[in-house]
Amino acid sequence: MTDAELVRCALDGDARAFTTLVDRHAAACLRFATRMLGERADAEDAAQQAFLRAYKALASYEERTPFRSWLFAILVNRCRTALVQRARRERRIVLDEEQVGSVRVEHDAVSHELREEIEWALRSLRAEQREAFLLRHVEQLSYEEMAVVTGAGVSALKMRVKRACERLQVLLRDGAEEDR
Amino acid sequence: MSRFGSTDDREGVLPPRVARAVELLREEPEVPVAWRDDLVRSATTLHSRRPWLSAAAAVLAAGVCAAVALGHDRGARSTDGTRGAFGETQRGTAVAALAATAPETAPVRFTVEAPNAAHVSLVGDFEGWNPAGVPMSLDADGHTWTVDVRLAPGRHAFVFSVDGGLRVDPRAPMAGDDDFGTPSSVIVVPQSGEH
Repeated sequence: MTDAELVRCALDGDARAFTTLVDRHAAACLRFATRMLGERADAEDAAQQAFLRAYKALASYEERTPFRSWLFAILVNRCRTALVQRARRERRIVLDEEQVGSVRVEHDAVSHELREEIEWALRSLRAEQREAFLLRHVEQLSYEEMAVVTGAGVSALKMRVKRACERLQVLLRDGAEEDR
Repeated sequence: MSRFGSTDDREGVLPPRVARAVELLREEPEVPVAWRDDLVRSATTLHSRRPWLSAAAAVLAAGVCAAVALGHDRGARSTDGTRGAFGETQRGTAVAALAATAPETAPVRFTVEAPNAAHVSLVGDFEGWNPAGVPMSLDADGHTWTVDVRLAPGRHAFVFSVDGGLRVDPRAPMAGDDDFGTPSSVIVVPQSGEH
C-alpha cells in the first residue's frame, strides 16, 4: 500500500494506517533529527512532534507531493524551531573548533572515534548547510524535493551542499591529522 | 557521479572522508519501542477528539455542521444577549466564548480588515491547514471580513488568506513555531468554566 493510500485510510479512521506510516518513516525522521540536532532526546521530541503535527494536518496533504517530502517539511521546521529554542535556552550559539576539541574524549574503538569526529564536524557546519547536506547526501532527496522541504531555491541549496562538503572535507582532514 | 546517489554531475565525487562520513550517517537509528508506542497512543488520543477523521462519523459531521450553524446564535446570545457583542468590542482579533448549548466546542468569531480584497478565508490547524480555508464574508462596512466557527478548547494556530496571500492576525499572539514555513497567529479557547 502506498503512503498516499495509507493517508486516505487514516483519514477514514483507520488508526493502523497511521501506525504503518510511522513505522515506515520513523527511522529516517529520527536519523535526520538526530544528525541535525545532535541530541537524541531533542531528536525524539522533534520527530514525535512532526508526526503528530502531520497527523493533525493529514487532511491538507496533497498526493502530488511525496508523503516523505511533506513529512520532512514539517520535521525540518520542528528541527529549526528546536535549534532556536536551544540557542535561547543555552545562550550558546555555535561551538567553535577549539572548544569542541578541548572536550573531545579519547575512545579505544576507532569507529566510535570516527563517529564522534563526524558528529563534531557536522555540528561545526552552519545549520542551513548541515540541513542541506543531510537532506541531499544522507536522506538522498532530490534538489526539487529539498526545495519543497526547506522553502529555499534549488540554486541556494546546491551552494549550501557544496559549501558543506568543502567544509566537511577540511574539518575531517584536520581531525584525522590531529589524531596522528 | 557520486556513488551515493548524486544526480548532479556538477557535485562531483565526494572526497573519501566525506563519503565515509555519509556512509556512517546513513545508518538508520533504532526506533525505540516506547517512543513509537507513545507516538501512536498520542495520535489515537487526537483521533478520538476529532470525529471528522472517522469515516463512521462523516455523516455525523455533516449533522454537527448544521447544528453549529444553528447553535452559534444561541451560543453568542448566551454570552451577553446580543450577537453583535460577540466580536465587535475586539474587532480585528479572534474572540472566543463558550456556548452553553455545545460544551465540546466554543463559537469563535474571526475578523480581519481587508478593504481591497476580493476573497478572504480563514486557514488553521483546526481544519487541517486546508489552503482553501473557511470563506469569510465582507461586512456592511466594506472593509471587515468575518467568519464564525466553532473550536474545541485548546490552542489553535491560524492565518488569514487574503487574495491568496497569507496574513497573520496583528492583534493576536504569534505562534512560536511555523509548521509549514509560514508564521501564524494563535488563539486559545478556554475550557468550560475557565473564563
